[in-house]
Amino acid sequence: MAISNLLEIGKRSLLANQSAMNTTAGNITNANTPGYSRRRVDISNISVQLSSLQSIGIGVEADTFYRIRMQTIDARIWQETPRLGQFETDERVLNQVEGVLGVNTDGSLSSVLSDFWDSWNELANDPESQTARRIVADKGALVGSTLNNLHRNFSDMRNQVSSEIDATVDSLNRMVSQLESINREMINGANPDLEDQRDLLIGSISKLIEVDVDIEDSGVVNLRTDGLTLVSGTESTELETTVVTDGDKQRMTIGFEGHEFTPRIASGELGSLLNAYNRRMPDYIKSLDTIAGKLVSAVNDQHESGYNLDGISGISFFDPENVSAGNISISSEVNNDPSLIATRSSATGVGNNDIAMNILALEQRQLANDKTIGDYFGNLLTEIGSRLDESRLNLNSQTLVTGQLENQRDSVSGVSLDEELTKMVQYEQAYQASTRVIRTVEEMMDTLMSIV
Amino acid sequence: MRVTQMMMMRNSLERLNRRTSNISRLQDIISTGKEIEKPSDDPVRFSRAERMNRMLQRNERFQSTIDRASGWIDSTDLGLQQLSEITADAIEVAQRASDGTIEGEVLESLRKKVEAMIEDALSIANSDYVGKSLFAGTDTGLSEPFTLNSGVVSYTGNDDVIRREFSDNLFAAINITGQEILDTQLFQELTSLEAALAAGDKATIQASIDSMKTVQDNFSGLTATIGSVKKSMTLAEDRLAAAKLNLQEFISDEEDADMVEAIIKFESEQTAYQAALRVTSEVSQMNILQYL
Repeated sequence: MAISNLLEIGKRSLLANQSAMNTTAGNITNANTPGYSRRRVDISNISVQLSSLQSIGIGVEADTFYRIRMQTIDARIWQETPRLGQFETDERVLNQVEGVLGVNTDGSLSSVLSDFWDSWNELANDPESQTARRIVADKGALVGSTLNNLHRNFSDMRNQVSSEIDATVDSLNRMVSQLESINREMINGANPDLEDQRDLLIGSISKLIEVDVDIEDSGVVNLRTDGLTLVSGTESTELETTVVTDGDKQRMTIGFEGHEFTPRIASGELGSLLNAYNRRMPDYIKSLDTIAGKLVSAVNDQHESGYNLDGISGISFFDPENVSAGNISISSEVNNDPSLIATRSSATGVGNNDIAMNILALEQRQLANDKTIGDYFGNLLTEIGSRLDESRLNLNSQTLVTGQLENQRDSVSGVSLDEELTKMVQYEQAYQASTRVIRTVEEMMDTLMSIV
Repeated sequence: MRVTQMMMMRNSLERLNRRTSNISRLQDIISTGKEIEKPSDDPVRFSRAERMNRMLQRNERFQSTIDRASGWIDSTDLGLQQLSEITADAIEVAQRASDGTIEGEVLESLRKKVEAMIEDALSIANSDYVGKSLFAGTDTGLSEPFTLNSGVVSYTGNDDVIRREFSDNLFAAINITGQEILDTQLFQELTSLEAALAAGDKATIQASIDSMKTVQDNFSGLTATIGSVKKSMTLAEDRLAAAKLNLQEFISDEEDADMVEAIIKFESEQTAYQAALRVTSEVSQMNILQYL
């Protein structure tokens, strides 16, 4: 065996250790890169077979370049993240709803309604008074404008949710088409960077919508949601939002271009937003409409049958045309001249207050779905509160679950600086040792040369 | 388990986050003094407190009704007493006039006295409480429900009652109508006494003493009626005041924070947070680089 072979071994060793050092450096710089999986280089011995019984080591080489990843944990994470996205969005939307209802503050609907009944009580105690009538008109107008405001806020919120749905679908489509182009490159051969990107994208998508993930051996990914294909090989489908008008109600659905079938999207951020737009917001608005409608008809029924100070009857207190939360208001007659407010059932006797008392008694009447208006609104508040409370609890536990899984993933795929730095020292020493080998060979050669 | 940088960071942030959100909640509770402010703080307790708040407002409404009614009832009561006193004075006059020796100028002066009494009684019957006629039924805008025309007093108000609700389903009529005043025969007896005095008709004068006593009895009846309204009102008022205290206590139980508990919790959270910050900063500085 020639001495020059030794030089070759030294060179190979330098190269192998340099390559390992490269990998380590890459791991260190990417320690905080989202979606990065640590890489590992396998270093192996190379030898030549001298005879059937004898082989001789001729050095080392850095061969396969691994991306360390556990697919089973990824699959679990992708299953759990849709629920995380859903609960996060639920919590955010409901928080806004609760904020809008302005609970326990002076301008809240509860307190405005209570002031309204108070003003009728004052009028019943002083049915001759113009001042008390002025106050009743003011408080009635305030009930109207408070319901109008709530209605507008809810509608605004619903519109905001609708544009969020559009934006979410847009970014979903963008990510899906990115996955498609990754698939295209994968066909030419997988590489760790592409795989990291692919997994990161699947993770982001699964936060928006529930997906079935199928990764082929080649690294190509197929994605489906509710049985419909989003990405398959080098083909992808775009989702689109459609607003369906059903009577006076509007629903938003998400489907595929050219397909009749609309997938059921129950979880993920998109599921939560759709639920808010299609069910929750309309329900809340409907409840407000019920309060407005029942209040208008019940108060007007009494008021129209009553006589005012001038002995005139048949005047509406609330505008009978406007029976929804969006437009409820006191009638223009009462607005222009509060003295038209009626308090009595007969034209004689301005001290008679039976109509005012009847209107006050409406507070205790079960006008809205077998509940008093106060109870009905209280129930709405409690329902929203319990939903919010529930989504907070869900969010907490889901954060724990996904956090745990992410920890498991990082435990395998994540970069540990201590580990990498230790390896760096190890490779550095091996590198130094290899240079020593080369120098020793040089000295050996010098010795040989000096003989000549 | 292999522990990596990302894991350490995620876990530390998560733990610190949980501490700060606990602290912020406790800060809310301590600075507002309320544990339940929004429905989501505790839906069940919120809904109980909300219902009780509405009951409390209703309770306060009844109290305000009672406040307003009591002035009216007191004025009515006073009016009835004054009318009853006039009746007593009239009896005295009739007794003096029925003495056989009294005649001429003295009789005339007694007649004038009765004439003045009629004026007084009229003005009392026409009296008002903050601008509302007390004895005109519901026709409270009438400034003079009683008028005197050529020796006859007539009533132009109505016979309707003025009703108030003192507490749940406890309704009461708080007025005495003009007709009830007329029915006491006060004005009829006074005018006939005056006529008898003018005519020197001793027999009629004598007879009016007894009828005046009946008038007085009638007034006692009316005073008793208004007295019983006042009584039931006072009872309702006491009940409402007691209920109000109870409700306020219940609401406070549901909504208000237990300050001692909140502050102790806050301090322990604070300690835990500081410890967490400390350990996080120590751990994040620990690194093999320090030893290489």
